[in-house]
Amino acid sequence: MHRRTLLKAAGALGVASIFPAPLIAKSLKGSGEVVIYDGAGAWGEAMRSAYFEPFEAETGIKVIVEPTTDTGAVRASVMTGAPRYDIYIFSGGYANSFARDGLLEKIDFSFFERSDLDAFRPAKPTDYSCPTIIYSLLMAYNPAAFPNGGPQTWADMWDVSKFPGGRALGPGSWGGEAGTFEIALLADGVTPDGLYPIDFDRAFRSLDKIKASIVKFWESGAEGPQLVVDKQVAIAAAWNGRVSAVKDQGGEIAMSWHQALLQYDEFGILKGASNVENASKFIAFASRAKNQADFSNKILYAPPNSNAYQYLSKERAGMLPTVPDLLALQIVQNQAYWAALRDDGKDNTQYAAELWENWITR
Amino acid sequence: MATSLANGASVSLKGVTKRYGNFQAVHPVELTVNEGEFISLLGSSGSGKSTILMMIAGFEAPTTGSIYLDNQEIVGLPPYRRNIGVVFQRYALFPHLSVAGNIAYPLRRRSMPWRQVEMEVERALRLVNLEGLGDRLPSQLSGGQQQRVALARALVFRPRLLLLDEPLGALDRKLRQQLQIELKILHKEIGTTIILVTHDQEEALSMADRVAVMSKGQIEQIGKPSELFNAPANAFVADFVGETNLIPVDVVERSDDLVKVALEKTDKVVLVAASQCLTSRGSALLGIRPEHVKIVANEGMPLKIVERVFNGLTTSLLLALGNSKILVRAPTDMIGGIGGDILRVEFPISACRLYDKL
Amino acid sequence: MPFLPRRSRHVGTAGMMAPVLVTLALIYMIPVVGLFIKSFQDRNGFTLDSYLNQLTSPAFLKLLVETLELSVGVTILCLLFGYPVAYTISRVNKRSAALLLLLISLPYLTSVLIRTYAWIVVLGPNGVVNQFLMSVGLTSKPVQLVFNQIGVYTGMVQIHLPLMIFPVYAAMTKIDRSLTAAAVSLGSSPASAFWHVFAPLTYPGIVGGSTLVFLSCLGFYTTPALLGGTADYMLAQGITLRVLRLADLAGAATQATILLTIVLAVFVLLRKRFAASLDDEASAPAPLKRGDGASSEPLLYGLQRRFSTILYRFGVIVSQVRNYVLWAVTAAVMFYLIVPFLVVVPLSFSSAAYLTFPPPGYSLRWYESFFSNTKWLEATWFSLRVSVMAAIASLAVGLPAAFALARRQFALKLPAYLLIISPMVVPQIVIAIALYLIVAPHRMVGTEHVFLLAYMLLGIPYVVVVAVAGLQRFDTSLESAAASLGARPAVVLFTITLPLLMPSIVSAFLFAFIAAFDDVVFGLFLSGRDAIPLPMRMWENIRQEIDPQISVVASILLFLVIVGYLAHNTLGRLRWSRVNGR
Ligand SMILES: Nc1ncnc2c1ncn2[C@@H]1O[C@H](COP(=O)(O)OP(=O)(O)OP(=O)(O)O)[C@@H](O)[C@H]1O
Ligand SMILES: [Mg+2]
Repeated sequence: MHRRTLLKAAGALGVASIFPAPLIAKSLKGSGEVVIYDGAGAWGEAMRSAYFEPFEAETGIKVIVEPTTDTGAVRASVMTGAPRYDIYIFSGGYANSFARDGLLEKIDFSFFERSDLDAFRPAKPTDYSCPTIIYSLLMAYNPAAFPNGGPQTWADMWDVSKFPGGRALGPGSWGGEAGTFEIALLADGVTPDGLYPIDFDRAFRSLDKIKASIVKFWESGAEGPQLVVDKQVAIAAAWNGRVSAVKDQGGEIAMSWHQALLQYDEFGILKGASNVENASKFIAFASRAKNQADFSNKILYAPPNSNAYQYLSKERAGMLPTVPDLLALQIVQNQAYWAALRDDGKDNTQYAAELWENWITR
Repeated sequence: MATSLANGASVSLKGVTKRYGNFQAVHPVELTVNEGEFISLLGSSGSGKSTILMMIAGFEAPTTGSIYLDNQEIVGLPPYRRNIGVVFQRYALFPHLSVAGNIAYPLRRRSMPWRQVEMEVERALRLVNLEGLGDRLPSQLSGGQQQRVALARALVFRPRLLLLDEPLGALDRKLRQQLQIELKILHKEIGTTIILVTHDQEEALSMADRVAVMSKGQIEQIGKPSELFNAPANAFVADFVGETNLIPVDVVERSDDLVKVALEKTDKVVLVAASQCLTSRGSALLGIRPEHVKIVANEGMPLKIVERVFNGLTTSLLLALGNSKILVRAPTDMIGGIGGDILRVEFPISACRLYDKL
Repeated sequence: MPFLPRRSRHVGTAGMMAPVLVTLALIYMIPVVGLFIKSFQDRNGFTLDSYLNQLTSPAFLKLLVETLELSVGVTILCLLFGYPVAYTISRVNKRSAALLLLLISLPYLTSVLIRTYAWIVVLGPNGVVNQFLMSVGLTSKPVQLVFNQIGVYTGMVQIHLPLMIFPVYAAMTKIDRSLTAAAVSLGSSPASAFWHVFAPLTYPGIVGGSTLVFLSCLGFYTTPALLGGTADYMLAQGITLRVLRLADLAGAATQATILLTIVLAVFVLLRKRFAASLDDEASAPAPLKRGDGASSEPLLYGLQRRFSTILYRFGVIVSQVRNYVLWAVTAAVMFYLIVPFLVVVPLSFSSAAYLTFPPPGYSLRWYESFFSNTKWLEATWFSLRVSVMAAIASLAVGLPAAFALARRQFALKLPAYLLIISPMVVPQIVIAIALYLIVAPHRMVGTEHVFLLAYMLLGIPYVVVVAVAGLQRFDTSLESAAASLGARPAVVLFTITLPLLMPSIVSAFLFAFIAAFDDVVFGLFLSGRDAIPLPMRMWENIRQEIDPQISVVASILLFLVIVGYLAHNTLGRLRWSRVNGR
């Protein structure tokens, strides 16, 4: 019980940095390699040019990219004693559950610059994890469907008479990762500070109201914007990066940042990793403001290190979810909540998945 | 092929049996086939004919007993080393090979140079009157042609023994008769020993030097066709080879040269020569062929005509005799005109034979 | 071979079953049993809690029923559409047959993801189907054709049709047409000749095809997930969720065990049918023997009779339709099978950075990025190489087993058969994690060998089901004839048996190859830096963004196949097409 509360606290937001980072960080120079997950695709490309190549040049440590896989497979690899990566990137708060189950190594923050460490906003590092990207789950819609102005809030999404057309949401079986429960509660009038702990009954009652209009619960992040562009639905919950990319390419899609859910991914070093020290060095390197800015220039993921904005153009920064103007409109998701254990030994994600399966098969 | 003949092989089966699980398909069989002989296994469906053939060919192993080919024990020898030609019930032509390819198959297995193969195939095609059809696929041939290909394929490697499993069964009557004649001529030409399985008694009787009649896994009688017809060893053979009226009778009296029997449940008495009596029991079967029943003007037995069947040259009459019926056959011009519903018949002593009950 | 003496046959049987059993034991049974044992354990030891939880969960039971329903529904539709197509193909000349079979296997060239997207385009509110319906005035508003059951069935049937058509076609090629002619000549109507003579002879093909389709449907969830609506959630989807996200291995193992148990129970209940289809000597096909089993199995009898009646009606229809109707049906099904390409190929030339149809402009940018990216090329080469090797290896261990199953009598034959096909029933994700847990400690992850083994697991069930169906009704007297003509067993095998079995072998190879070539799940667990299959690359690609890149891969494969086909047609026929056609 004690351990859990402590972890909860550590994972919660706004906790001041407690890490023993020296004023002057230790040198990152080294040898050998570090095996890392890169998310593949455009994300992997951005990481390669912003992190891997300069890191190799500066430290002499080689970055090896192992193919992408899912959290479950990663967990299995740690349990067999042969972790697939040294560094994995966790979404949906899974770093917390890994840490809780003893599947992560501590990050050595002595390689970090104090200034970088203190600048993490709004998500903070913990003993076992360090945020790497921030993105936003927001409302995307087809502007042509609403000539008199598109929907702004989740309540608008629920208002089918005012904003007719099909809807798409993420699957609740993903727990918090697709934001469906938070969205349903916000649409039902719950205030941001009253979101947690999630009132599942209320969330499902809210979902009941919109279920008939929901064409689809998408199964991958790219699907939401795709459904809007294909005019299969009028409004969808979707991640900002993909929506912006489609929009840039001339796709007919618009978005609203109001009440968008701010989410983040975290680096974590897998237990039993062969290159623990190199892994800490890499995370430190990828946490530098300049490097994160380079990264955010390549892909529309926001830097958790707020100092990175010093190196970003105003225009670019304006497209990122953590720029102050936009940040004010949004709600930071409590990812630690989703990884927290309930009294029956299940975490909230597992619990939500079961409720979800009951609900959709009803 | 017709020129350089190996003589036919001899085959003998000694105490051969075959069991499938609890089912005895073949009871102990003794059978000797002489070199160059044409023998036929005749029997009803399921009597074990094919099983015997398959054991000779090597596709089934006998449960007990030995099989000799030219006095050499061949049980255990795999079929591909037996050098026995087999024609299967449905020909078993290889559908993916042309006619020539089918016929060349056994020659290729014997590593014959391809020039010679070509010549042999040509020759075999000529032998079965199929010149020019070598390039066709089996599916492009008529039934009779397929049968000939199967025959050519089984003969082309000059086996000393040829096994034919109802090779003509699927053909129409006319074609069957034609091929029967061709086969017989072929046998004379090439001298191979032939064992022919059939359930068609005419075929067996007209083609084979000797016929083995089979029933329920047993050989009932082996002999020349005329022996089988004239001196059947038992009621089954009498009935199976040609038709026979088998009338239940009670033996009334036996003397040195005569046996007196009474038709069951009547007081009608019939005399049978003691030499024709194959039973020692008190109740027996009186066998008389329909053709041998004598029609008389008066005296004899007056029997009621139940049915008339016109067969062309002959006419058959079905007569009621006690609880059973007997068949009488006579030339149409002799009995075609008979009117009324009573016919008077006699059983001449020369035509009657007494058997054990079945 | 059937003419070997008894004792050596039994030795042979063991020898024939051994390779497949050993392979399965190593890469399937040991890992999966290990995982299943976990489903009985919790922190305190042995428990049935996990089972009780699932079996009392209305959601799970409903999913189970719906999954089984969908699988049965898709199987029936595949039979209805596939049978006439197989019939047509079996009647045309060998060249046309080869072409048609090629067309049928084309859909497999597109990855599930791009193919599914093509359906979304075709069936969507602005898709061709809706435009057609509206232009002929059947509807004034677009009809919802996707993200519901219509979409699910459209996608599922398309994917599974080849699995039905190939085995049924293989069975039909072995039927002597004169038999139906004979039946008609003996006074039966064409309909009854079809039903009483032709259809029964295709029964092994129907059983084989239906088995493949049904089993494959059970574990297939990507298509329902992508084309279905809010309610179309499959059991395998829930199991995958448990493994990949919720880290609930015990729950996944429990659900998989229950599914496997039910499916095996169905097989055991119907064992007479399967025993019959496994038994070469079985005479009349089971559904025709209305008398037998009627008293002992009233339920099955009823089902069977209903099924027979449906099939009978169907048979009547098929046999009564004129040739051109049959051709129309065939053409429609063919069109249905290749429709996705009509979307996929133009998409690959799209100038847009995201999927949109019709493309706003055309360019070669996605081809450039494919050929300039060694990752794609390497992955393509890896997948081709390993999938071909795995398909060959699956044939090598699967064919002897199929021979033993189809021709030998031995104890535990049905259990052996069920074991061999069971990898199709156990959701692949469960097998993948189980296998992973075994091989990972030995540092085998990321090697070509482990992919080869894992892909064999995908290929073996296809090979065995297809080859057993192919061996039914194989006229063994042909082999006896060859032996009597002097061919030793090995020669008989290579000159008679295998050539005649070629249509089945080719389709078995194709299925095994495709199952491997299309696999993402093993890739998720077993990939390593030097061993990344193409579907993994595609999956990585669509994870973040869906762009036209994957349609390039499908189009290139299509192009290669067309080139290959043309080359084959000009350079002479491939062996299999020769034996294929009638
Ligand atoms: N493999 C087998 N297993 C069990 N019983 C068999 C087998 N083969 C044949 N039999 C049985 O053995 C008996 C003899 O069969 P066989 O094939 O020799 O008959 P046949 O005289 O050739 O009949 P037909 O004229 O119908 O061809 C039959 O009762 C048959 O059912
Ligand atoms: Mg027979």
